[in-house]
Amino acid sequence: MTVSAAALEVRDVYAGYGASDIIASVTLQAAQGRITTIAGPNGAGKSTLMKTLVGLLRPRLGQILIGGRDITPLSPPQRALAGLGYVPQERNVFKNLTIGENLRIGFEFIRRKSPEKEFNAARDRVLDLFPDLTARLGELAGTLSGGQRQMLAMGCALIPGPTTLLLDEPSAGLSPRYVTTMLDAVAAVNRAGVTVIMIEQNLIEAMRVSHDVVLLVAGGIRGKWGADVFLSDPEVRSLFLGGAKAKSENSGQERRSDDASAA
Amino acid sequence: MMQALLNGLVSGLLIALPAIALSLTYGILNFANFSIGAMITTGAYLAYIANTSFGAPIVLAAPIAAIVLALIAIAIQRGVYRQIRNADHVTLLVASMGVAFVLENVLRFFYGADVRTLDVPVARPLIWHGLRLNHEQLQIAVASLSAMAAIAFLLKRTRLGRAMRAISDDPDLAEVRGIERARTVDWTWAISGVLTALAGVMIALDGIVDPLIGMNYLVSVFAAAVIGGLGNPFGAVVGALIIGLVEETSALAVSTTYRQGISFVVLVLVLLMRPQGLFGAVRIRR
Amino acid sequence: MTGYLVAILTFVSLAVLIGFALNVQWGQAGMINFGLAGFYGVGAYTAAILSKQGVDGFTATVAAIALTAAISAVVSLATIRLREDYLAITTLAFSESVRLVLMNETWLTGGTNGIRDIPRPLVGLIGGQYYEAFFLALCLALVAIVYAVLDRIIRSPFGRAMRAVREDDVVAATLGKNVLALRVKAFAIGGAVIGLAGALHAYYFSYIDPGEFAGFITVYAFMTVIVGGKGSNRGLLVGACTVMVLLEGTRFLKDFVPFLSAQQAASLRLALIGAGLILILIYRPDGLAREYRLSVQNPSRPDANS
Ligand SMILES: Nc1ncnc2c1ncn2[C@@H]1O[C@H](COP(=O)(O)OP(=O)(O)O)[C@@H](O)[C@H]1O
Ligand SMILES: [Mg+2]
Repeated sequence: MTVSAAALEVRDVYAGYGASDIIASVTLQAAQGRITTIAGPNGAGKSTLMKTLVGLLRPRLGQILIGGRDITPLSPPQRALAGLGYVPQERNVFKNLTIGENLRIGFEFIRRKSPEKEFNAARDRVLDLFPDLTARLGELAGTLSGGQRQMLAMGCALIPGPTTLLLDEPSAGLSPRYVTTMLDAVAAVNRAGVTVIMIEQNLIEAMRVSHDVVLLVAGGIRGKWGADVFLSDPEVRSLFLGGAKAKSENSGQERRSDDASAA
Repeated sequence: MMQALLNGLVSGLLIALPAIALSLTYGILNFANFSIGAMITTGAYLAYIANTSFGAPIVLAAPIAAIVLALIAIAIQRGVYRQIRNADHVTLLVASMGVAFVLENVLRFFYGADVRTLDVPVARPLIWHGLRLNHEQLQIAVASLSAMAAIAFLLKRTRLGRAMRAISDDPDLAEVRGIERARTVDWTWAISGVLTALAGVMIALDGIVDPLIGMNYLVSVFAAAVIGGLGNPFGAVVGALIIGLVEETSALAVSTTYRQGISFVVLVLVLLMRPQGLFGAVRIRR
Repeated sequence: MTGYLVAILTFVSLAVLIGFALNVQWGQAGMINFGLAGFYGVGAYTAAILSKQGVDGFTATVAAIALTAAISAVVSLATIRLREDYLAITTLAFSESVRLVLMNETWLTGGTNGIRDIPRPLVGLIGGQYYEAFFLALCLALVAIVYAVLDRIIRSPFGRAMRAVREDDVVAATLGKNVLALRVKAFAIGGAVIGLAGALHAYYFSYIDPGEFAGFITVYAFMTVIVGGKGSNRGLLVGACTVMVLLEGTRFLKDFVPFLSAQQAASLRLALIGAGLILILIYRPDGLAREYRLSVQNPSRPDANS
């Protein structure tokens, strides 16, 4: 295991929507420059945890730190300004605005002082990553297919140049070809120096690009693994019983070793 | 008939301003502002005060009224709506009714129920092929069209406009994208204040100032906004033109005292046949 | 003094009846009625016009109840699939339209002059001397009856279904509840009670005009219900008394502040009522009475509004 500073740290966080906590006593650290995947069954509270990280939910107790700085009191826009990018699981684009406007909004409120040419450069970089969007800049985002919408959402989170990127199921609902494209894009972004924390259900594919895995079950953290060993752990296998076993074996050779990718 | 259409068009342009204001606050705050009638009245009185007490000509009195009402609207947002914690849209609705009640009666307190008029020079109407367009109507048309152009530019081309549309589309996502909700909401109220004040001034120009002038337009304004799809400012303009035309042409058959009654009927028909409005996305109760 | 007290208690009874109605529509079913004044006017004018035609008080009251309930049902139908904002707008527009009819259809309503000398039921039997007291007793009895009936309704399966619809009508629909019928019924039940209150209003004053059925009635009703704790019929008593004390108390304003004209004092009173409503929404959204609450708080972000 590489020792590196925690880009994002969660200390004993409790949060929920009403009277009761959905996540309880969650503590975790996402290492600088790596991809940490949060795995767990449906309804475990993964999205809830991520909403708490971006500030859409206030934790009842606990602290959230970015690069050692306590951001718990900050509002979502302030956290975005502090370098946190986020792609929600659903409703992740402004449907009644054009694709071009979505990208601009992704940039202009976080990089308030940047001149137009920096926006253009940032937009070109995003369009290089997702060329499908280029021809459709003037169309409403609501007209995009699921896969393209996911790409736009990702592009909007990337365009201001976040230091930490939170992705809630970036490959959900995508066709297999798009799943690969999307996760390759995540890996590329990460190679460019962005710390990534993502929730994924496509575990086989996710393990291909991830470094670390955290398991969240029923609102609590069950442990942390290297991505290369996660799917072969007996506890994990019993949790994701069924297809996961067979698939995990034939995807084994694709997995990158932890050390090789830590650069 | 042609004259009725022309009058209807001008009346529609007048209704359009508060209808846009209603749609903007509805889209961004997610509640229907029932104090919009009282805001119109307040705007008219502010212009009246500037005009008669301070002797400002109407071209100066109107912007003064607009700015002051914008500040009042922001103050109400901060002092009332924002203070209601965990408010659902129904609670805010009721609060806005309370605000209307306060505004209207404060005006009554200072100015009574007397009918007043602005101090403006009288000008001869324009006559063209038998159609009359009086000076006030011309002012209404020009002011309203300019205000609409400014709003369209604001919404489509400026950072604030994009922030407003983004919040209207998805408030959580907007915050995550770095948009400060509170500040955008303040601006929205300011714009709403400007638009309603202009409408109030124009109603006063075309007639009188009394504590009920805004209330007399409330139903028409709501009907216009609903026809356009609540929350859709561009739809509200079309809705306002429809309401203006229907009200004026129906005056050929029904007594003008039933102007608001006609709007009510149109409103119900639209709700029954196309509840989402002619353009809006459906906002189903949940 | 006794006469004053009797009058005040009669007003309180009427306010409580209107509060009951709003509590069914808004408190239980979650349906907003900003046109309450208009429905109240329909009830009052129906009773008054029929009584003037020689119809006996009981029949006229039943007719007022039936007509107000029927109109309520129809108005609620128009907004059945939409959010509460639309119902609020439609009812308000309805109320304004009613006011226009009351003011302009002179042949029917007497126009702005209103209707005078509305015959009071049983006045020949009771005699003028005790009539006020009798009327108060009648109102109190009706309050008790309506309370009992509504209490049964609230506790019945229908009442539970109504609250289920209020909390989440999608869930209620999937549970097989007929949401549409439920909402129409709830609004009509409220309408019936408003119609009753309107009829009593006409009889009590034996004179009505359109000015009495303006927006302030609606504001008082909301204030009563909110002060009492939305949805709680027992809290309503507290609510109605508080509003009445406020109304009557501020009536003496002009005695203390001599330079105010009667008109100014009246406006100031109304402005204070509006401000009171806002303050209660801010500081005591669950009402002063804080009765038991049947609903759970909607889960939402603590900082959801700005
Ligand atoms: N907006 C919400 N309000 C109330 N409860 C919610 C909300 N969103 C999610 N929940 C509940 O929180 C729990 C965890 O949901 P979520 O965090 O979305 O799980 P996951 O993303 O792991 O599938 C579920 O029981 C869900 O019903
Ligand atoms: Mg999720």
